[in-house]
Amino acid sequence: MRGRSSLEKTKMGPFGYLLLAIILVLVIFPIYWLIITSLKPKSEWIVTPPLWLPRSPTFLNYLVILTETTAGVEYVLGSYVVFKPAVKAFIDSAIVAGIGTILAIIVGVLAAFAVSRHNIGGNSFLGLVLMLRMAPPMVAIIPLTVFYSLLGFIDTYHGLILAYATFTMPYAVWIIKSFIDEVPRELEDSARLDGLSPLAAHFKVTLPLIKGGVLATALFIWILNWSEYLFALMLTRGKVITLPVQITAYQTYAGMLYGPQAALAILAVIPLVIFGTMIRRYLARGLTFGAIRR
Amino acid sequence: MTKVMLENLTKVYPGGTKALDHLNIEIESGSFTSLLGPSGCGKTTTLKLIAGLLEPTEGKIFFDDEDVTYLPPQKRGVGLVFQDYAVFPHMTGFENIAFGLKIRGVDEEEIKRRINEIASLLEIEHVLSKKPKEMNISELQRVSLARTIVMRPRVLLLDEPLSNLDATLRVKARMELKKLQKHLKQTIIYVTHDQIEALTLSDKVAVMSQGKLMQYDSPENIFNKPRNKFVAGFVGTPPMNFIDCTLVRRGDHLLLDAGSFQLDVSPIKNAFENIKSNELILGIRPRDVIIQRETINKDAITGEILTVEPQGVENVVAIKIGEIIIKAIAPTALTIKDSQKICFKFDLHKIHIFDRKSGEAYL
Repeated sequence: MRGRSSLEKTKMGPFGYLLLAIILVLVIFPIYWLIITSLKPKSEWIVTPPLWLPRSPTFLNYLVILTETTAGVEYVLGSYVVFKPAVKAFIDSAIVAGIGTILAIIVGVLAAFAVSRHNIGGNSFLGLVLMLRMAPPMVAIIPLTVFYSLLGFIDTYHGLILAYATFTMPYAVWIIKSFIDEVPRELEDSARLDGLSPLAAHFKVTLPLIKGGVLATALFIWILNWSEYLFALMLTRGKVITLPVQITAYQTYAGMLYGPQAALAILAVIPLVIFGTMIRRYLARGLTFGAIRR
Repeated sequence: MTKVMLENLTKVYPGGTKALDHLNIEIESGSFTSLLGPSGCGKTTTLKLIAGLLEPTEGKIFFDDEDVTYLPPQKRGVGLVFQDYAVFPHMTGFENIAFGLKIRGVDEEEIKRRINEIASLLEIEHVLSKKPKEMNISELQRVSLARTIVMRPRVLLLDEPLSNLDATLRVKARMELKKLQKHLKQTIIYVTHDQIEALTLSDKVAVMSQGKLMQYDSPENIFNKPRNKFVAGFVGTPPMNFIDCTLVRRGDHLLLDAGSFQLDVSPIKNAFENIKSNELILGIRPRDVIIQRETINKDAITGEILTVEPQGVENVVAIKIGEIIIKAIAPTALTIKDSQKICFKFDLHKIHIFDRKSGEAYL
């Protein structure tokens, strides 16, 4: 009966399909536009009427971002511009976003257990954590830059990692806490009577059950870190460079180089798609959690 | 087998709620004791304190002569079957039962032997390889019981383990629990709000209300000799009738004046010798109200039938006498209709008398 009713729920009328099609176009169109722009030569980037498919497809944009090719000269009038390969930006982004995410998740899991199971910080603690995150990053960036200058953290991996972990940790605490809350406390109590310490009961009983939720949270935070621009711009000077900063490098006095920017954006999305696909089994479970209680 | 002693046990939660108020109980070694009471009376809190999952605000807990008040749960040797069973959803039946044994470092062969033994006792061999989501509620309950018993705890605590079962399964599970207790010969503390479970399974019953112990006695005494109005009203279905009345001495006669009727209690007047107050409550169980079709003696009271609730072999009838309504049990053979005038009398040897102010039982 339950299955039938949920099937019935998915039945849509023509209006529903139309709405779905509009949403799909809105979601797919930017990706489509990025792909075709990345394959277009400069002459086709901005034309009227727009070209829905490249007339002379080229991988030159990819070559420009991945190698120190002189083919880049094509892009500017009278100047000889060569861009540094974006490979370093990939590596740097992977380091700062990856380690930042791992740190945020580790601290987030521990803090979420403390708040959910031990009521640490009282009832208002969680609201306070989120309230801090609600402040626009712009508010924090100037004092943070000053502090970082004093500490010598500007343009360092650990500086950016620390900033990323700190600013995404509140999300981790909030989301993971909601997953922990869903697991009946009795499961841990039962494990404690079987001989586990409270901490061991958290990690051996509850953590395996919320694994999907933690991975889903990790993906969410990694996306935030991977695409973060403001901190990456303000707290680095070129020794450390992340992908969003690298993308903005593709401009000259003659204007934006949309082709290389689109090519880099496409390449930047690939790791997210791979990671998302790898954990999709957990992702679905993590996001539709709450079926533990019978 | 372990004797459990609770001494002045008090628990006040951080919000200020007093869940337990100076509870004193001595649970005999090897006995089956039920903690019976309505929701929020502190019975589950008591169980969690015994298990070590909560720390008392005041008081002590002894297992035999050992003070275990502040011993962590993993060192108490207590087993607890939770109301929702707390079976790990990511493990099979076997893994669930083996979980505690593995933590304690029991070797593989011994684990297998013990699990096979317990699975055969509880008839759950067929669910050992299944995950909890593939088990029915009765199997889940047995797996939960098995994973607790397999640890051979000193004290076995059961927190309303039958409450999720339907009526038929509950009766069956009750019988099996009784059998299991005989087999285990273990100290069992059983929490329930179901009086039938408590009365049928237990050697002793502790009736609780608002964190206080109301009576701790054998099931027979709990039912027949309730110590106060709460116990009398909580135990028994349909519940006991309570009628406010005044004790009146008229010549040689001793009467209970309820306003709408008077009950001559002269035949049992010796029982009233020690009663100091005249403001009393008369308690009578519906089963002890004897319904008569016609007035056959002068003691009979006349009333009007308000409702008749058929219960199969008998009917529960509500009788209105002036402003007073009492419930009685009438055999189905006795044809009774709504609004019919009817006579009844009380079995004087079965009446209960309570003090109107304190609720304490005199008789």
